[in-house]
Parts: sequence; structure tokens; C-alpha cells
Amino acid sequence: MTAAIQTKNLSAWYGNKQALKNVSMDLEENRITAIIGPSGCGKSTYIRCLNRMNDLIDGFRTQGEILIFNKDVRSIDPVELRKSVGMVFQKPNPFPKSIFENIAFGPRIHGLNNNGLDAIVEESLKKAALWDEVSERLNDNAMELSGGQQQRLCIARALAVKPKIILFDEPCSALDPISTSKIEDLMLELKKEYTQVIVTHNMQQAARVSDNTGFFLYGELIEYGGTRQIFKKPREKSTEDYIIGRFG
Amino acid sequence: MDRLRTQRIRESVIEKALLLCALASILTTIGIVLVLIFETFSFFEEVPILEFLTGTTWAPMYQPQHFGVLPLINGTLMIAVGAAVIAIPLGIASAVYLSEYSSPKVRQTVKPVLEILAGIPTVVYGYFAISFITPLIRVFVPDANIFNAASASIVVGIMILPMISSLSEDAMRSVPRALREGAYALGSTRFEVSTKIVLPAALSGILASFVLAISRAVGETMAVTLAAGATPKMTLNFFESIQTMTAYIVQVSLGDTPLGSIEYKTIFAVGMVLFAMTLLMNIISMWIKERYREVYS
Repeated sequence: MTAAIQTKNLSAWYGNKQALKNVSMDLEENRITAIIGPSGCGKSTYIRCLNRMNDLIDGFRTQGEILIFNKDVRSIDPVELRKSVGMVFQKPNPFPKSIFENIAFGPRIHGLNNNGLDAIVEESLKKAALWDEVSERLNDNAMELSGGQQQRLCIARALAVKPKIILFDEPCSALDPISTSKIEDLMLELKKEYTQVIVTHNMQQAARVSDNTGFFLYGELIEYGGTRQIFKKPREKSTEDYIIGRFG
Repeated sequence: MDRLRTQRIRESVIEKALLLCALASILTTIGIVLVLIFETFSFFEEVPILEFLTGTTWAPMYQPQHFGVLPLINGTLMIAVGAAVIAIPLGIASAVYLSEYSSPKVRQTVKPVLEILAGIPTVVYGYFAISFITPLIRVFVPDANIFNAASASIVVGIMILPMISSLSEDAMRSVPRALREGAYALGSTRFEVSTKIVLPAALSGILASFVLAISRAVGETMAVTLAAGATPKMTLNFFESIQTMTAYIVQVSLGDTPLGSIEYKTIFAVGMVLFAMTLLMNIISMWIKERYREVYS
């Protein structure tokens, strides 16, 4: 199995505060990798390094290497990088525009003219399992959708720029159980084409969707392995304590 | 028991006193509007309202007298449009810069400085126009009158600029960070995020700031009285001397027009037009804010 993402001795700081300590991790292509750990353990920081989202924050810096398909992310223009590494956020954040315009936004800024848009909007909404619910009202404002639909819209929006990797930053923490299970089914469906990384607070979710799981604590990667192994037979005491709910 | 009663009386006295203070400004406003309406009515007893609203000559001080207010409205609109043409692009550009591009340090310095611009007395702007802007215009347009609409427009544009940039910047900064991140995550550049996400999302606040600023330009008095001249005329030439409604009111109020004469009453009729225009614009601004308010979450 090839690694889509590799980090080598990755450390990160917000000003003087260190958020990641020497994280080395290989994430497999076309697999779902879950990143778990208590609040403040650095898991969000970690995935936001992968598409250089944290570059937007003043005083943020990193040390070590991040390779996306064997290319150092610092050698790639962030705009180009984010085209191939999409992201879905904790709270659904559709743009205050129509459903169509939300999906078309990415392809448009990357220079697609109006001809190809209809097809790409339909394809993306179908992939995100939202087409049947919205195909009749593509011109309605996206804000009118329910929270779960909005989140699938955000996934469709990310898919529309044809990324290879999708990062999910706690995508279900603002959703109800039914919407959550729809997103999880969707992730499993998307495995065929995309490498996915999910940060989650919800351990059942990690166990349900992911192939591999990494456990973070105080900015360090404590344990990383197959999801089954991590949940059934964790090697580290702190992983076990966290999984059975002794803290976090 | 007794103590409780005094306490209750004291509370009610305080409440009444506070109410009185709040009423004072409302009553003053009502009083002003009433005087305006009353005097305007008595003006229209002597001058037909149709002549006033459609006449194209304004000459109440000369014989034969003419009471067509259109030249004054024309002058006022020239200043408002001219100022808007200058202040809107600059205001938007500085709002985008402050909200999306500048570092916090730069913003914390530039924004207060811009707001100081708003605190300069307007008479200072007036002689700035006469002593600096007008000579500069006459370098490029030698035929321009000493008093001209262009100079006044520019200076009023500078005056309303902080209003537009400051209110627009507030509107843009209240656009949630999550929307920006969503756009960046799709591979947008900073310029695309600013123009395609933040500006449209903040549009209602930005438009409202335009209307408020233009309404300020319409009501602006001192600078245009000094810089634009006192020649009411129907023109679109910015290098001629014109007169605005406000400047006319100043001219009559300063002169020795006898109280109660028809010349004197003109200022109330003109004031009424001015009041109606700014009121309408403030209503439009509120309506825009309500109607186009983007719901982000």
C-alpha cells in the first residue's frame, strides 16, 4: 500500500505554545485514517497542517516534513495544494449563495467556464448523496437546507474541485445521529476514489469508518495502527484509558 | 414600612426623570419638524407648490422673483454624486484592505487615523478645498471657476470616506471566519475570498454605508458653502460655480432678510426638501439592511 500522506518529525507552534511534537505518520492511499484524542491534543492542528490551513494564522510555524504523494507541501503553492487536498469543517459552512453556486464556486475559480458546470454540479451532488434531495431546487439558498444536508453540500463542494485527499475536521459534531450515519456511509462510499482523514471526538465513529487510527495526546502521536487493533488490543496504557473512557 | 414607601417614591421619581430626558430629544425633533411644516405651508400659500418643484430658476432675492428649487436640488445632487464617485471606490478598497489584507498592527493604526478624519471640523475641510484643491484643479482645468462643484465634491468625498470604509469594514469583519476558511480550503486566493465571498456576504452593510454616506453628503453644509459658490443653476459642469440647498440656507440665514418675508420663508421650504431627501435615504438604508441581510448560520 502506498502512502498518500507522510509526516516526518512534524512539530508545530502557535506563537510559543507547542501544539505538535515530532509526529511521524504515514497515511495510506484510498483508506480512511481516523485521528482521535482528547480536546487540545493537537489532532485538528495536525490535519490543518496537511492543507496548510494554519498558514492563515498569525504566529503559526512548523518544523519537520509533510509529504503529499511524495511532494513536500512547502514546495507547493497553497492554492494548488488545497485543490488536491480538500477539507470539510466541524460546523457546516455553506456560502450564503444558491446550492448550485456553492458547488460551482471551486470549479469556477479554477477557471472552468459555464459549459462544464452543470455536469460537475450534478456529479458532485450525486457523489455526496445529496442529488435526489436537491435536484429540483438548485437555485434555492443553501442556508435553507438542514444541518446534515448542509454538511453533505460542503462535501460535494469539496469533491467538485476533484481533490485526491479529503480532510474531515470533526464533520459530525454538529449533526444528529441520522445525518451522522449518512455522512459515515458516504465516507465509506468515497473510499474507492479518495484518501480520507477524519478527526473525531466520537470513538464509535472512528471504529465504524476508519481503517487505521492514530491516538494523539498532548501533541504527541501515542499510538498508530489498524483500527481494529487500536480498539481491541491497544499497546499503550493511555490509549486504552482513553478508549474505555477513563479520561477525555 | 415607611422606608419601603420612600424607596418606592424615589424609584418612581428617578424613572420619571429619566423618561423626561429621553423625551427631550424626541420633543425637540417633533418641534423642529412642526416648525418646518408650518413655515413651509405658509410659503406655499404665496408660491404654488408646482412652480416650486418644477421651476428651473431660483432667484428669490431679485426682481422678478423666481422660486424654482430644481437648480438647488441639481447642485446638491452634483455634490452627492461627485462625492460618491470619489468615496465609494476608495472606501471599499480601504475596507477590503483593512479587513482582509492588513496585519492586526496596521489595522490598529490605520483605522483610528481614518476615524480622526471624521472628527475634523467641516469648516476646515472647506478652506482646505479653497486653498488647496481648487488651485490644484485650476492647474489642470485653467477655465474652472474659483468656486466650483468639483472642488466641493472632492472634499465632501474625503469627508464621507471614513464613514464608508469604517462601516464597510465592520460589515466585512462580521462575516464568519468559517466562510473564509471554506473558500480557502477550495483553493481560493485571498483576492477571490475577499471579492467573491466576503464582499457579497457583507453587501447589505456595505450598501447601507453608501446610503448613509451619501445622505451625509446631501446634508453637508460648511464645506460646500465655502467651496462650491453661490450660483444656483441648472448645469452638469463640475467646473462651474453652483449652489446647494444647504449653502442657500446658510446664505439667507446670514443675510438681512426680514423675518416673515417670502424670501425668509424660502429657507423652510428648501429645508423641508432637504429633510425629506435625507429621511428617505435613511429609510432606504434601514430597508436595505433588513431586506438584504445575509443569514450565515
